[in-house]
Amino acid sequence: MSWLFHRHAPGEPCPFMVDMLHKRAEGRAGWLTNLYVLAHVARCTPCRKFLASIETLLDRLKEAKQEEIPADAEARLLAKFDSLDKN
Amino acid sequence: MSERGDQLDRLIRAELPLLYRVAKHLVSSAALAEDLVGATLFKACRAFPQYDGRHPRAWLIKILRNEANQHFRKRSTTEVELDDAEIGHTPHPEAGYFKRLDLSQILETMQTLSADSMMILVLCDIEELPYSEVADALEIPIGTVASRLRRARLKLKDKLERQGFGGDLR
Repeated sequence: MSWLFHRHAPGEPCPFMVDMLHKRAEGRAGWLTNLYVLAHVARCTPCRKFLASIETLLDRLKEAKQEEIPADAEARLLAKFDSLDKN
Repeated sequence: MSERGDQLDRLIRAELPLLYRVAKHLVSSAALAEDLVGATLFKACRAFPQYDGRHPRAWLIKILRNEANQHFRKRSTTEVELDDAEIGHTPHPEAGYFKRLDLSQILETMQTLSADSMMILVLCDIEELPYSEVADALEIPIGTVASRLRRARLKLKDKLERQGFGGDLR
């Protein structure tokens, strides 16, 4: 039966799974999709690796959000903004 | 200041950190990011009388995007974007050389993507804005946000893997 559920080139995720894997990694998958994805990746190594890599990438990218605007840059920009005519 | 002026003032003060972060990720230089945001504030003031008041954050991002696009048009690009056809056809690296990826390496690699790909990654995956807001800001349908985002992620992942960061980026 595995031919029904695993159709992909070597090392690549199953094409029909890609959208669901992205949704799962984004945390936007519904419970049924989550269940299906988990059942699938338990038996499909390329999809499991793909999901892990997307989850890792997203986790790292979220870290970039922590960056603050430097206080001096903020002050300069607000001063520039305050000098503009807003009416 | 008029009521409309006050409204713009509040909006800018609330969204300035977001605008700066997005600009910084797009151009990867604090000075350039400040220039981009400065130009965005100027354009926002000029365009405010015509602004209908809907989706304020998306409106500001749209202005920033236009400014960034002008910047990218001026920049002489030597980077070559991968064709969509190449995506997903990279030989999967053997497991066993999983290097710990530094965030700065990811962001540096992101800089080699097209402006559109960078923008969608910054808005969706770094800033985590809702698809609907991103769709408004980029003036594209929500479905296109999802497909463009996935293509951009695959391009980034593919480039990182080509640099030897391992199949699962760990």
